[in-house]
Amino acid sequence: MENILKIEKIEKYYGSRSSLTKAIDNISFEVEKGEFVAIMGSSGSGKTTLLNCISTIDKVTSGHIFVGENDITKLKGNALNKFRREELGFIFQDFNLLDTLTAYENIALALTIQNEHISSIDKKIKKVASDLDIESVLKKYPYQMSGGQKQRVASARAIITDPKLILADEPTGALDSKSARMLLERFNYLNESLQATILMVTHDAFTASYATRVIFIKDGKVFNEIRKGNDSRKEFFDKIIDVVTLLGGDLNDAL
Amino acid sequence: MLCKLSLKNIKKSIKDYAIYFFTLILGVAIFYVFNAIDSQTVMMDVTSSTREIIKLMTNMLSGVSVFVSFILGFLIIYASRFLIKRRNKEFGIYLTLGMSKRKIASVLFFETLFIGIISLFVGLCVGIVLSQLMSLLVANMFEANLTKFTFTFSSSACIKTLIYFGIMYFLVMIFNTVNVNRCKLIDLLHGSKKSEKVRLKNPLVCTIIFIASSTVLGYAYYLVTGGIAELTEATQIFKPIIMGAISTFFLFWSLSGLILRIVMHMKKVYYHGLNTFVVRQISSKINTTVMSMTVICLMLFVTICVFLTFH
Repeated sequence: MENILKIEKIEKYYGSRSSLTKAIDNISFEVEKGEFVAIMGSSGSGKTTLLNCISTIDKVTSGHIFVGENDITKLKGNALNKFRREELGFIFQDFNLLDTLTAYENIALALTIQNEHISSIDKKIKKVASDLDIESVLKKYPYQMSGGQKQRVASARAIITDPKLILADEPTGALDSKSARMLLERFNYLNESLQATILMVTHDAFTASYATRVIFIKDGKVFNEIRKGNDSRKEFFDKIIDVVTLLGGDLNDAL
Repeated sequence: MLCKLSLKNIKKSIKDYAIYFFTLILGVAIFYVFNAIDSQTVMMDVTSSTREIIKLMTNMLSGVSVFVSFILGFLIIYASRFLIKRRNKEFGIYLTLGMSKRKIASVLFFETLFIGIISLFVGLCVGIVLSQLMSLLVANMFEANLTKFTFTFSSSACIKTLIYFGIMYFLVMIFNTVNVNRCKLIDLLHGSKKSEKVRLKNPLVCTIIFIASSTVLGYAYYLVTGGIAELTEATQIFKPIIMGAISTFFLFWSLSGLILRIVMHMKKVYYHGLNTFVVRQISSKINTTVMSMTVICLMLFVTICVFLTFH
């Protein structure tokens, strides 16, 4: 299988010389095309920092991150914009939709920034809207939607450009359990039917159980990693809980 | 699409923009009125000695209007910086979607342009109406013959206003572009989560500065009013003006801490009803708007002075 993401010995330090915090301490892993990877850890374990580094929102202190052939730690200026535009899709915990635009326009913006032709935009949005079951809210503004609908619109915006990698930061963090399940089922659909590669950060074992692989992070290091294989979601969930129990201490409050 | 986005942004954030808009319109109007007095008085039937006075006055007024435009320019830049700060997250989203900083700057450019054009137009209309009232006032003051009063439009004042505000908007655009280019994505997205720094001022320092600045301010006002006889040269007038400007700033700077301090000491008042909330709100408002309060006060001062010179 082709590697979409390859992380090589990255480190991220915060603070000054006197009070140095190692948010990420020598992490390496790879993600293959078509995988759905969840990164789990308690708060303060460095998982969001890791995602920020991969998503070029933040910069690593040392190490390399390859997306496809590109070393994204070396990207600058227009190349960086092009990379974000064409190869990444973002999904945030607090949706980050633009309040001034309708759902349709929010999704369209991702395409118009790429100078996509008007006629193909409409077609693509119709398709993604039916995939994510948001056809009924396309004309609404973000403040007229429920949290689950907003997150699905945000997901539509993230996948419509057909990115190599979709990055999700606690996507279910602001959702109730029913909307969360609905969103995660949509993620599974995107992953299985459309071969989307998804990297998701979460502290919730239930959310992580929808992934095909879970990487556990503790104190900025990779602690463990389990694969779903042929297990059902229920069995996988139990396995995740086992690791969480094994981790003990800090991770208990992750549940 | 970019154009449409800017228009939509303005439409939606009209409430945020309202005060900014109002300031601009007022600024344009006042600027026009000051510069139009020249042509307002030309058609009046006055004696030659009065004409001399009026000429002197209009020269002075156009000088003052340059000063006012400086203050206005400062205020506009300040207000636009405030507006940008409120929209950090929005810019962060644009960046994550892969929009280049140059494009974001051009979205801002269009917004400034639209607002600039509209405010210039409305401001000029208001200014033209106001200048008619002004000419009535001036005519009344110099007991001119009002039989020849006609509606006047000063094209030179209009052009001057357009040029000055054009330059100002241009500066704001440059400023915005620099601002956008300087910011980091992570700060834009997570900046709002950082709690605003609450700088608790040392009460003793506050009190000392309050007393010192009010003394200096009082002295400055004394110099320009009661002690005016001591001034022998025109350049000496700058000393009290600078003193006044600086002490006004420090007065506001120390005021919030002082109010909070005094009221907190009066426990009965402080914990009565909503007073805790109200006092905290007021002091934090004064705290964050020290600069704009100072500018507004100084502008009021200048305006009042200018109007007083008529008498």
